[in-house]
Amino acid sequence: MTSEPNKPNKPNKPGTPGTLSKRDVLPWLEPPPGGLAALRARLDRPRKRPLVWALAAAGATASVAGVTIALALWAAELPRIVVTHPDSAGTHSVAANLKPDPGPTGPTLDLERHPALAALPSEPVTVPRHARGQMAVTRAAPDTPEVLFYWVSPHTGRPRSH
Amino acid sequence: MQTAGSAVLDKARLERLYVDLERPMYNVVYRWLWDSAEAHDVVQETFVKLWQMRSQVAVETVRPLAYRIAVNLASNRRRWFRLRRWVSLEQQPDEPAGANGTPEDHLQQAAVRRAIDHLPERYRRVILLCDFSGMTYAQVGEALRIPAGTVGSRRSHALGLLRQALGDFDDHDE
Repeated sequence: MTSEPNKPNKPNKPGTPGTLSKRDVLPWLEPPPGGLAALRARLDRPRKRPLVWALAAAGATASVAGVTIALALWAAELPRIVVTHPDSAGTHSVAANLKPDPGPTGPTLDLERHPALAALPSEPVTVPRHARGQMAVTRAAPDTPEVLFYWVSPHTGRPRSH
Repeated sequence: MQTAGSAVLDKARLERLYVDLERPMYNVVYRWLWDSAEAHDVVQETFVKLWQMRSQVAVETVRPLAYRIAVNLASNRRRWFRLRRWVSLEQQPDEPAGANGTPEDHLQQAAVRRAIDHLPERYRRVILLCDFSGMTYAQVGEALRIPAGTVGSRRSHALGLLRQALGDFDDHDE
């Protein structure tokens, strides 16, 4: 490595006069001197915190914020689950926002006037996402009062009479 | 990846590897960037990256890995330069830095550079690694993550394209 940087070494003898050799096409070039010392200095240099990490942190923060907002919006749009009771004259909406069901399920039940329904225990009911807003939970009337029996079914196709 | 029982890439090994690979690697990446300082910087950057990932590096396969890193760095930098030139309308120098000799030599070197520049990237990678790295087809294939047979066919195709651009030349090294 004694030749000057980028100075091509002597080309090979061409096979025939006027013909390029491969080393004419791709001659060896010499790198600038002092490469090893520069590398040592570079390795000893404290590693800089790359910009990529800052960008990644910003991206992660934005993602968390996005997910939080999406969850909040999703929660706001939670469907109402309608609970019907065979003994009751109407339907009771037990949605998170406790709004009356505007659908064909009848008037909202006034719990004050129906103490039997108000005393019913509540159980968590998981409704598939695609079925939200279309499900009704009906409490059956079993013979044994210690046993509670609920029937979960879609609004449609089910008789609404009680 | 480092396997149990394989040698560790310590600083002394890295420096020895640098001494071995600096010149051939410089010659490979120079044909991407056509700039001595940038090519030298890419070589150095390659070894810094190797050092940073030394816990995952197996010494036995470090050469193909080093060339893979170098070629990818050079390729990315070349893309960035082209974009920068396009934005700033900066002119690219016509001849390799340090080229000297007769006007015929200059013309010839400019033609060679154009021919190499116009090679599709997959061919350029293969022909430069085969001609400068001293690696076998299998190692070049490992560096480029292609089969050894593909290395041979791409190299042959690349030589054909260079011959089309430059006329016939001897395909012998020394």
